[in-house]
Amino acid sequence: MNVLLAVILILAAISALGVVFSSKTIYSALSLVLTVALLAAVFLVLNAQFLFVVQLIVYAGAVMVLFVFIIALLDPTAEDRPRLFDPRLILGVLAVAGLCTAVFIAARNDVTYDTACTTQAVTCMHGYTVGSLAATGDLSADPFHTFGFPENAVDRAGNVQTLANQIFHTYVLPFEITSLLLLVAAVGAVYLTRRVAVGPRRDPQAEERWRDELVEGGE
Amino acid sequence: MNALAALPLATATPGWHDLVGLLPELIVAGGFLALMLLDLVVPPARRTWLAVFSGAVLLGALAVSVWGWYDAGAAGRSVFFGAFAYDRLAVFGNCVILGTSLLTVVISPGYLIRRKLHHGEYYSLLMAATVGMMLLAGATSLMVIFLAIELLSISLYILSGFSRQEERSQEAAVKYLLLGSFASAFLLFGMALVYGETGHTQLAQIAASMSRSLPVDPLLVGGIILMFVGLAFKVSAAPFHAWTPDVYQGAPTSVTTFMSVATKVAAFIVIIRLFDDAFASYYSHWSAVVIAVAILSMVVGNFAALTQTSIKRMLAYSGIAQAGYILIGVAVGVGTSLGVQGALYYLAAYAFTNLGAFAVVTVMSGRGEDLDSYDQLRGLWHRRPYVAAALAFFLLSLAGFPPTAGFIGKFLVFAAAIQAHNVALALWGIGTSAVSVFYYLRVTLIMFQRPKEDAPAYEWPRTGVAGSAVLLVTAAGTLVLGVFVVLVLTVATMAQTGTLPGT
Repeated sequence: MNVLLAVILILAAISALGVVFSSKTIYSALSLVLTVALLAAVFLVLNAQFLFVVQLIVYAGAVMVLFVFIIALLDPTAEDRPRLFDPRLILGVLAVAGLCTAVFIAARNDVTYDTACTTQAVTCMHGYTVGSLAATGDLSADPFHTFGFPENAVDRAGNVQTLANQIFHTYVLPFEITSLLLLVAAVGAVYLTRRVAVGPRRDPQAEERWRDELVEGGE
Repeated sequence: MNALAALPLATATPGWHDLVGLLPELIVAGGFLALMLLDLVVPPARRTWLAVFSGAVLLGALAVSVWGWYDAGAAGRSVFFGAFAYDRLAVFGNCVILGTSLLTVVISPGYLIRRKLHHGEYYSLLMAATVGMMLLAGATSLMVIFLAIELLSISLYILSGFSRQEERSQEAAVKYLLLGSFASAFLLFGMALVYGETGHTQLAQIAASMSRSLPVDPLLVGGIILMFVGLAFKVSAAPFHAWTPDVYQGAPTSVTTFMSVATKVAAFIVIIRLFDDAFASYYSHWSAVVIAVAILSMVVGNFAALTQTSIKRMLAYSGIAQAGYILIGVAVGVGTSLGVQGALYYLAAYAFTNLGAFAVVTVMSGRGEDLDSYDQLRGLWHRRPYVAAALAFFLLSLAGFPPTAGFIGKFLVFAAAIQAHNVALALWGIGTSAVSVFYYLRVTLIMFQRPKEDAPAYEWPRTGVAGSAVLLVTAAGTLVLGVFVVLVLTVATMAQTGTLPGT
């Protein structure tokens, strides 16, 4: 399992480098698709099948197709490459390197890894506490199970079932409000982008007429 | 035994018990969905029927809410696993929000037809915003609070830009969207910090964690204050008020009428629930910020209103000042019982009064453009004496003259400040109220002046049955809240005592 994970991660790192160093924007985008797909594979190895599918559908699918589309429309050959020794670039590299060093030092000093659950990302949350209050709180009393996620629950019930239970039982109210929210956004998008007569003859009645035609045409 | 039965996660399933607590919200949400479909079959000339339908739905939800006042009982109960409160504070908020929404729907068709904005989406978006506000009034989980705020905000962003031919309306929508998203980011960041420090998204659990925390957690204090910043944007308290005058002026007046009142009521209910209940144990750490924002709102709102020449902008600045007065009640709401009662009373009084004032502007807005500049009000008394008298009455109430609702509201919050031994805060309130008299009376005097000979006369439309009814109801409400104090104060006291999460 660990060897497989290592191979996937190395490939992901290589393709991530490819995103940055490809000479053509279109290759960068395709490398990004590969990176995202490999990260999805990481989820699969970590026993999170649902996240694997979501990652593929949302990122590798919709977003990336959109991204490639945009690049194709923007005519990638016309784009000029940045200079190698751009002072801003050097400054950026230094800043990122400094940040990475700081994070690395902090991690060496403070964070201890729970070796018992390296292969199960979700259950690792159980041993992980943020802030001072979480440790003192009675976690089992919280039906939202945020940090007190029961150990091995995922293994016992399966990934999709676990998520379904969370979404349709514990979080059903926020879930339904989200659906209303998306509906409102759709109504707004339709209303605000609906065709109206613009130009020299600004006619506020035109929209009304267009609507009437639509209603009649639909019948 | 299948895999699900062995699952320890979902110990409880939402059932009828939970749905009853959400009944008014479900009715309005159903109305929202039905209106979207009805809009397709109702011919454009008959769109007033959509308003009638919306009104019926809102009236039904209002009736159910009133029933819920007794059904929830004094103790209230928590539904959807602690995500939502079915208590009297939520019901109180629901009644005020539904009343506001209902009165807005009544004045809308006439105004929208005159402005050629009569589209079905108006009513569905208004219903969606109402649902968001009602959910906000009862939300006891950080997730529900955030989603409810987004639901009401996004509906209002669209409604602000509802007049698509008008640049000012589009500008208002964009400004509101950008600044509103900014505020949401503050709120979300605050929530993330609170969640990170307590490990919970539910207010009851957060409050329990907080009361256990010794020593004080600085990140938690930061989270609470960031959440306050996000909510202060929504109630348009200074210094987070920059969007208010432009949006109130640019949005169609019927939308301004609705959002100036209902948004404030919903956001203040959740502020009271958060700060005077869930975060009460951290009172000494957030009270200074709330007091500072209250004083700043009163000063900025009242002094900026002095120089306005547009009635909508003046009422916007007045709304900023009113938010400051309500914040006095919130700021002293932990130590005193009068603080929250005063704030709730003020909210009810503000709802009637401000709704009435904006309703006058809506009803008097003619075909060409919205009634806006002071000059367009000149001589209103001589042509429309009842409307002018109503507006004068509302402005007197906003200024805080007896026997109006505004006077009692101000009296209660100032009394609460004195009860909390914060006489300085009360003096700030009284001093700025004295300033406010100037600009409210200025508008009143303009209405009583004779119209100038050379000035182009503004064509005030006929008030109509719907407009008269709304003005009558709001004026009566303003008077009742100013005279029968005990009646509403009892309601406010009952709403306060059963608050969930109840620390």
